Amino acid sequence: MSIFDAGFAVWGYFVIYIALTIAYLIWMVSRNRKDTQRGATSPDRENR
Amino acid sequence: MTQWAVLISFFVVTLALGYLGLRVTKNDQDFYIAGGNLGWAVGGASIAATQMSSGLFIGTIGIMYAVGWSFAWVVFVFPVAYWLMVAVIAPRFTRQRKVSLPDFLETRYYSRVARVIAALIILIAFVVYISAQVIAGGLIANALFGVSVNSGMIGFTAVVLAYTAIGGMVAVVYTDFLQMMIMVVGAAVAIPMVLGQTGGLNSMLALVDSANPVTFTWEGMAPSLLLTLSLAFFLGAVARPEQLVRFYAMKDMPTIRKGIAFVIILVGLAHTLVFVLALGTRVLFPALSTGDQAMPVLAVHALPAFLGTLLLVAVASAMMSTVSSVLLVAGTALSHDIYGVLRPSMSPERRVLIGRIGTVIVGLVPMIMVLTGFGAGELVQFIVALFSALMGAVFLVPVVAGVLWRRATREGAIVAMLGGLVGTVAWRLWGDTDAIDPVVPGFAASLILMIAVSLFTAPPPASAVEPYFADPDEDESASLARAGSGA
Repeated sequence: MSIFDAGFAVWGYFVIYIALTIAYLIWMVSRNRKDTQRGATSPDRENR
Repeated sequence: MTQWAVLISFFVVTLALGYLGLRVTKNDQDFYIAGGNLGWAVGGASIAATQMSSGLFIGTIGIMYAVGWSFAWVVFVFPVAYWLMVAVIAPRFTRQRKVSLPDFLETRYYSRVARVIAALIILIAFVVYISAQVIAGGLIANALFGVSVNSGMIGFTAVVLAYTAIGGMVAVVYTDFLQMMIMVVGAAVAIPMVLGQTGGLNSMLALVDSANPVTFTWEGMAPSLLLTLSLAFFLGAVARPEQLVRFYAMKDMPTIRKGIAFVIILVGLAHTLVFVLALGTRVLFPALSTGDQAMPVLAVHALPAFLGTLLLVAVASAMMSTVSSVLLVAGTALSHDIYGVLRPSMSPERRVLIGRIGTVIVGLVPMIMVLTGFGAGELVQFIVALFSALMGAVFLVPVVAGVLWRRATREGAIVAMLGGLVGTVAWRLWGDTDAIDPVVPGFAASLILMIAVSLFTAPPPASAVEPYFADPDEDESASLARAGSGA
C-alpha cells in the first residue's frame, strides 16, 4: 500500500503543506526584496 | 549505562549554553530579548521549539495513534498562523522594541493597568502550563530510567530552571536551537528502525490500514471536529506571548520573515516524523491502553538503547525548550511587568538580578503545586489545550486590534482581556466543551467587548497611536531597526 493508495487524507497533506511552504517562501523573498530596495533610501536602517 | 551517558552529555551541553548566556548578559535587554540581535536560524528554531512541547511527543502522537492520519491536518494551522503573525502583526508590533507583550500593551494602550492585568494573566496561565510540562518531564524520566515520577519532575525542572535563570534569553534560544535539532534528528533516526521492523513503508501502511480501517479516512476524526479543533489551535497560536517576544529578540523584519520560513519547515518536518512514528507504534504495539504511552513504549521496547535514549532525549528537549521559554516570559511578567512597575528606577544589574529571581520563583511554584497534588489526573494535552485557549481568548484581540485598528482604546483592551478570560473559564466550567472549544466563546466575548467599549470611550491619544500607525508608506523593515529604546 503506497501513500497514494492511502488516499487524499495522506498524500493531500504532503502536497498542500509543501505548496503552502513554497507560497510562503515566494512571499518572503518578494517582501524582503522590497524592503532591501526601500532600505537603501531609509536613514533608519543606518541605526543598526 | 548508555541512557545515563546520553542524558548527562545532553545536560552538560545545555548547562554550558546557560553559562554562555551568563557571560554575554550585561543588562535587562540582554536577559529578556537577547539584546534584540538574533539571526533567523536561531530565532526561527527557537520559535519552532517553543511551539512544539512534550504534547507533540506524548499527546499528539497519542491522538494520531488513536484516530489516524486525519488528525494530521490540524498541523496546517501553524503555517497559516505564523504567516498571519509575520504579515499582519509583526510589522507594527515591532516598531517599538519592547521586552514583553504586557510592555507593548502599556505603550499601545497608554495604560499601566493593562500591562499589569496582562502580566497577571500570563503568570497564572503559565504556571498551569508549566505544571503540565513538569508532569511530562517526570513521566519521561520514569520511562527512561525507572526513577520515580517525582524525582524526574524535580530533576528536569532543576536543569531547565538553572540554565534559564542564569543565561536568560540567550541561553533559552541557543538551547532551543540545540533541542530543536535533537527533536528532528531523534525522530528521523528512529524511523528507519521502525520501518525495518514493520517491513518498510508500504507494508506498514497496509498493516495499519488492516488493523484500523479508519486510519487513512476522514472517519477517524470527523471534518467538523477537525475544523473546531483547528480553529481552537489557530486562535491559541497567533498571539502567544512567548512567541511574540521573539520578534523583539530578532534583528529586523527580513530576519523575522526568514525565521518564520524556518519555523514552517521545522514544524512540518517534526510533526510528519512523529506521525509516521505513531503509525509504526500502532503496528508494533496495537494494544496500548492509552495513546500517551506510544512514544515511551516505542523508545524503550522497539529501538536499540542509544536510539531509544536519543528519542526520549528528543521528547525531553521538546519539554525543556517550551518550559524554558514560558519560564522566561512568566519571569518577565513577574520581574519586569509587575515588580518593575512598583520599582521603576533600578540599575541594569539589579534588573537582571530581579529577572533571575522572578524566573526562579515561577519555576518553583508549579513544581511545588504538582508535587503537592495539583493537576493529578489531568491529561497533559488537556492542560495544554486550555492554555492555548486562554492565550487566544485573552491576547489575540488586544494585539491584533492594537496593530490594525487606530480606534482601539485602553478601556476596550482591558475589558477585552478580562472578557476573554471570563468567557473561556466560564465555558470550560459550564459550557458544552465537546461541541465548542472554550477559546471560541472567550474570543467572541473579547472581540465584541473590544469593539463595543472602544466605540463608547474616548479615542486614544495620538501619542499612543502614532508610533504604530504613522506614515503608512514607510519601510516596515526599518521598524525594529529604528527603536532600540522603550524597554
